[in-house]
Amino acid sequence: MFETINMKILLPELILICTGLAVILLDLVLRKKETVAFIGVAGALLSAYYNFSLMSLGWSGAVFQNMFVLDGYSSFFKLIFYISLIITIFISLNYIKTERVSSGEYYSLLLFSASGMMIMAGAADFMVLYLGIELMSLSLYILAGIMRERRTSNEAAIKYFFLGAFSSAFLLFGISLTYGLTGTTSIIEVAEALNRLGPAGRNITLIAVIFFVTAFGFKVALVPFHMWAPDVYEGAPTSVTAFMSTGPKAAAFAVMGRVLFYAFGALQLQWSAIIEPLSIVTIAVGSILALSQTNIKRMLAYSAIAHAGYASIGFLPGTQEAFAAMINYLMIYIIVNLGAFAVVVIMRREGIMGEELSDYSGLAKKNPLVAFLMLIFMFSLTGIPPLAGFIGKFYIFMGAVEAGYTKLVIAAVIFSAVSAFFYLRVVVYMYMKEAAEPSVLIVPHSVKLVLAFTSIMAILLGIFPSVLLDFARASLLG
Amino acid sequence: MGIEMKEVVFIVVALLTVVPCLIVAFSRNILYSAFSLFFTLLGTSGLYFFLDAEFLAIAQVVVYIGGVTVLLLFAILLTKNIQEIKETNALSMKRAYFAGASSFILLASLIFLAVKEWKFFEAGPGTDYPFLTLNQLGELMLNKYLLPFEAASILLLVVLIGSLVIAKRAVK
Repeated sequence: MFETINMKILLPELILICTGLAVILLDLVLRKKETVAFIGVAGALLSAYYNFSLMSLGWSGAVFQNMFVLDGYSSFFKLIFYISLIITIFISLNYIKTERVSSGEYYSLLLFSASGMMIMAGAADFMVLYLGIELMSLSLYILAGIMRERRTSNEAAIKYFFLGAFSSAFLLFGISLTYGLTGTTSIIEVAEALNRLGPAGRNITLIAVIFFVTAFGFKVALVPFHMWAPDVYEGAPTSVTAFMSTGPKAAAFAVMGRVLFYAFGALQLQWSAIIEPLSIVTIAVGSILALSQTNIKRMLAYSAIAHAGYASIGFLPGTQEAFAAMINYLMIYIIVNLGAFAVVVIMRREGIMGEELSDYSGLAKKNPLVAFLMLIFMFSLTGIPPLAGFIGKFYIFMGAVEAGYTKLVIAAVIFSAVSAFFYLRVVVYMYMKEAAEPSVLIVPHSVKLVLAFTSIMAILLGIFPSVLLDFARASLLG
Repeated sequence: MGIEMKEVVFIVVALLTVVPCLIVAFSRNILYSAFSLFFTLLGTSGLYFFLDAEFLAIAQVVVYIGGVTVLLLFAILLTKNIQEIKETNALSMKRAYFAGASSFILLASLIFLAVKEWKFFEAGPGTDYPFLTLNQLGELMLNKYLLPFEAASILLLVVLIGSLVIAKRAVK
């Protein structure tokens, strides 16, 4: 029956889910809506505390007959989710008041979505993995459409929902094919079954791998499965876009890594050959289409597509070292991206959308500090040394070159240079153009905190690159 | 070796599943489509019985026939000008051809692979599924599969909250 000790392993997820439930109930009672948000942050911190204290106590392992694991791999990704969740809550505080979104549902859906991601990262069975993905995605569909009176928000939710459901069908097809061929849904047992089948019998499971890559391609927005991303990112509330382009993207990479490395590790050469063209096309399309965007959310959407391409290069060598470089890259990307979105969020004020690039004209005169921080984020996203973004790209490229993907890396570096054009255009608007009309920019304290954290991390991780990478390596080992 | 009784029943059930499917796709009247869907779902339930998955078969009847089809009929009943749906269907003919062609290619390649490797037709290791009674199924759900079961309950809660968010009146 129940192994009471092992239930502890689920504590981080349980705490977050209970916080989500508490938030939606307390929202009815509490007058001051900020309190609800802080309960959410407290829940996330408590959950993080338990997760890492369980890890340090050596309580890691599998529960429910290998359905769910707590290991270094999932803990590293959970750290990404906690950062993404807490920062999103902080930047939402004032934003959702301006947009008149009701706070109870908003925060609880954020928390449920984050718990879905945590279930994804810890899933050791395809069934749990699928339910985690659905929990995350369903919450996101609703969050994307939470501004019901705005048409773009509705459009975003509908598009996201349909394409999400479509990709779920691919995922289920992949899972059912795998089950049919190996007789199990457990990730470890699938790997064992593939070893038993031998090279000849294994090849037929490649069709399941194709379905998996397609499904995850939709979730991380790899070209040609990226169509939904720009419209959804533009239409969704900005704070939700910030969340969507960070946590869920990392979660999709977490399950992709778990499935490809742990379950289909025997087919590494084959799936590398599938991902290789996808990654370079993704980088190319993302970088080129971002050039013509005038809306900053759309621009950041294409930038997110390109970054998913860079990150997926980390899969190609199929080594633990390259994968460590990839999760290192993801951590850096989400911190910098959240910082950039924090600036986009404060540009939205009563009566001003603040989403067009022209809205950034003269920001350097209006608010030099915010403009400077945005400059740091844009430089970091481009990958200019000594900032963190450079380090992330550097390790990814180095791993790929060592594995013999030189041509691919040269192409990626060229597109990285192309991307400088649209990132630096924001800087040009801020520093070299005059403001159309004088309007004050008020930075709420919560966003100040976020800007301070993200910009300091963007600089520190660039100066001390080995700290995060060593942590990533250590996480993959245990 | 002639065709045995079991095979005859299987062919009937399979036809009951597939033929109404075609009506669902090609009928110009959406009401006919909805009623054909009823038979398709019934046929699917029959296929589940064939696979000894009785619980799934009954759940199929309760959820899809009792729930989804009835809901669909209500939706048709309550929608105005439902007959004009033909025009929107005609708009996307190109896409329909594309979708049809790509699913045909997919199906053909699956059949090709299955015949070539001869793998789909023999059970893999450990796939001889045990016969399960409802009691055993319930025990499994609260034992081995407790985590997915509970995760599904949270999922449904989120769906409930989501439908309320979408349906509620705008905040003044």
